[in-house]
Amino acid sequence: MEQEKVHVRLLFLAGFLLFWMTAVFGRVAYLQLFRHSDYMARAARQQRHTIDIYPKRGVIYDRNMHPLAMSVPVQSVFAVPGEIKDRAMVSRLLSNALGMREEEIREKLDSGSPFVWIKRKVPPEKSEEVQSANLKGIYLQEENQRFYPKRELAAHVLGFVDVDEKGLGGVEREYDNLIRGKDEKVIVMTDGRQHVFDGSEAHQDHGVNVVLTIDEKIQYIAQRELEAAIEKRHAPAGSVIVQDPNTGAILAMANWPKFNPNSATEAPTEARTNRAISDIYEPGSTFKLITLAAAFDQNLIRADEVFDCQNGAVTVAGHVIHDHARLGLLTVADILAKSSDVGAIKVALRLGSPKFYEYIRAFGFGTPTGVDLPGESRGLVERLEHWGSFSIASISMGQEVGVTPLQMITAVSSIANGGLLYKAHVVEEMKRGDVPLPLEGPTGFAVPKRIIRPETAATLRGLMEGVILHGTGRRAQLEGWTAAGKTGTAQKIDPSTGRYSAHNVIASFTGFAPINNPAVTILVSIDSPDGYPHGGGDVAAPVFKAIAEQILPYLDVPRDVPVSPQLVQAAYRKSEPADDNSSDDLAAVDFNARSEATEAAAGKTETTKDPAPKSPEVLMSADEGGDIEVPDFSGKTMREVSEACLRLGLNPVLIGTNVAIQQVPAASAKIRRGAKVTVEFGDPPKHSAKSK
Amino acid sequence: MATAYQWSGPSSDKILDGVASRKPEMTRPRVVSRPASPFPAATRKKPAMVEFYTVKKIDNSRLVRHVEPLKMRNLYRTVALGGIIAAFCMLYIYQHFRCIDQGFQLEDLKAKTVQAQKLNSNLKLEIAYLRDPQRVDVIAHKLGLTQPTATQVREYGNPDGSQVAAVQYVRPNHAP
Repeated sequence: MEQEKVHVRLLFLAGFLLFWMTAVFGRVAYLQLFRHSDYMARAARQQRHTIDIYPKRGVIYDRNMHPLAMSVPVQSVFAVPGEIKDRAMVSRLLSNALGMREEEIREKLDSGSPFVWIKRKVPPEKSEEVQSANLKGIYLQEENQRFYPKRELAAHVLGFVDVDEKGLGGVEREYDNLIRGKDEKVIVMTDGRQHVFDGSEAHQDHGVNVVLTIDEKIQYIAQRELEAAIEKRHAPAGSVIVQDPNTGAILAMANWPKFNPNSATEAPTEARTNRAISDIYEPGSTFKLITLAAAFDQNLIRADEVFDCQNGAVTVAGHVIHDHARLGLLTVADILAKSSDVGAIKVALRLGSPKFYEYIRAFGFGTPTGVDLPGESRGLVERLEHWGSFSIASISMGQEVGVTPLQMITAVSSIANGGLLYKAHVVEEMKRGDVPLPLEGPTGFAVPKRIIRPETAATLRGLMEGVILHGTGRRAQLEGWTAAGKTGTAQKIDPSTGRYSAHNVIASFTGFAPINNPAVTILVSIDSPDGYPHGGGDVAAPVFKAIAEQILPYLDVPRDVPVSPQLVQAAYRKSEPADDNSSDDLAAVDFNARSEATEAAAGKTETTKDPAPKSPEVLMSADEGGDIEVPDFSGKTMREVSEACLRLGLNPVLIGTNVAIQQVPAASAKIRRGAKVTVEFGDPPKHSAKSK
Repeated sequence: MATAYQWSGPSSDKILDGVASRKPEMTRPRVVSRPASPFPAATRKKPAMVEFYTVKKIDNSRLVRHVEPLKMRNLYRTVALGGIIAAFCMLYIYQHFRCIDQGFQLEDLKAKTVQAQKLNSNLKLEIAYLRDPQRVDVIAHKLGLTQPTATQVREYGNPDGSQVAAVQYVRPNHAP
């Protein structure tokens, strides 16, 4: 009986277990077999999340791969107002953390929008403070922010971006579609705690990196010297451009006023304007280069040909033109050196309007240079059919024509490099990662166009050197290098009278150095300098000198003129192991301090509280420019010149035929081995030049 | 008590002993006496049956169970197969969860990589800022440095154990 009871109980238990297992496995089988797809879909909806990946903007480098603009991730604060219960408290806490007004935050939270930005792109310390507050309904979103670590350096070239990293100026705008990259969505799988455990790979189509032709050191030198000149002459605006005449690459482009692209929206619009490409001005006397280039290229004049400048006055089409001085008979070289308007008019009249207009357009005036920057102006050149009877005279001296600084320097660069007009550009190359991209279409480099013959360019270079040696550009003479250039003093239109102002001018100087194998072309333009004299030779030429003398050694350009050894006075101190906290080396040395013995001998009884340190005078000598003296090649044949140059280890550049009539550098100049010597050949000069 | 059975033969002990000597496994039969019937003899119909309850002691210690090799082989094969299948199932489950676990680790490493890249970007930005030419220029001026002259400078006759503290331009040197 008992056994039967046990047996029954066991049967009952077994039956119960069987039932339970049947129920469980049956349910499992039902879920797995019949509801599989349904629950898989639910799981996918729960686990799968789509993340927007905002592309990182490409980096903008200078020509030496120093970053000028780059993006780094920062946090932005946003709110979901529906999740916030105590908005007043949240507003107060966020106000303290973000430095915003509490009312402003409260207004955003009460806007009724399900999503609202509190503050975009906050500094890391503020985002950490918000995160540590752990406020419900307040979240952080990672975004990229553009930084310009060099601040105002090359700001007008770089441009700037808005809060959504969209380019609004400069290279940032010109190549925005390439630098920006492409948005992307990535699907990830997360668990219940929102930890990602799987996801698709992002293609990371980041923006293209841009390498500029700008050199940050040269850019800084140009900016610094421009600012110094602006400050000295209290000018409201100015521009400096440094260009490589052999490629058209822009090495520096500085403007005043300047702005900081990190806070571009706070800068006035005029400060953000790239005057070097958008401002139109009448070039004045600098345009005489174009007049003479056209006449030389047409073989209508010679450098030693004499023109009667009629004591500085000429009448054309009823208008009387006066020179700045009573100039009489001038050679063509002197017309340029002394910047005679009368002489230039006479040359232009000999050239004729059609040819003159053709050369003006050939030099690129009246059309944009095609530089890869937005907002370039085409300048102002009247069509030939609209020229008046006085236009040829006016234009020959640089009036009645509007040019941009970039057009001017590009034209002068063509004279420097032997007659080829290169397209100005600021982008050297583009890279996606480390892979360079081919520059095609508008970004590609156009083939240079020959506009004047090499002989014409060589002649003009010689004349432009005369401007610096004994003309209006004497203050641009460089120490250690030959240089050539032209001053310009263009009167501005007085808006109140509609006539040319006697006081407000645009003082400019455009030049290049060295003369043989020019390394840089520099244009300096100062708008409305204060005080007198205010001409290009007094205001802009010294800036050219200051910039060129710093850039040429930086570029390792060998000197081609002898340098006067300079005496410098050096004060010495004991060389001791310097303490880190010691500021002895920062103390200024008084070169005028006299020794105690000297003072005692002089009978001085005054004693100073802080006697100046003893500074024994030691004379030091400066280094020479080179060790090879250039011989005099006058009258020698090409063979003789070549042999002499090869013997001395110089690099001859021979232009023309017959015998040598002109050479650069001049005879007896000291240059280094391997330097170029340009020798022009032609008919030997007749000794019948009139007095100047 | 009436005896249900009467034996006229040898005594039961002897019989039992004989049986025991012949078959050790056999035990003595137990004779069961029933109590006398309360009914009178006249009503009794037949004599009660004798029931023998034999207690049989079975000793199987010397029995050898016969095992069929084929069945054992099948058994081993089935067990092995089941074990392999179970092992594969375990391996699959292990791989599945290991994969998920490594997925977490991979995403964690990716996040660390991203963090490192962010740090790298920030450091590059800081380096670029520190290399700002204007900043270097200001610091150089504060330290008393000046711009170099257009030419190289050579020293002549500096005192032993000294170094240049400062330089200033005096005048052009007119060479003899």
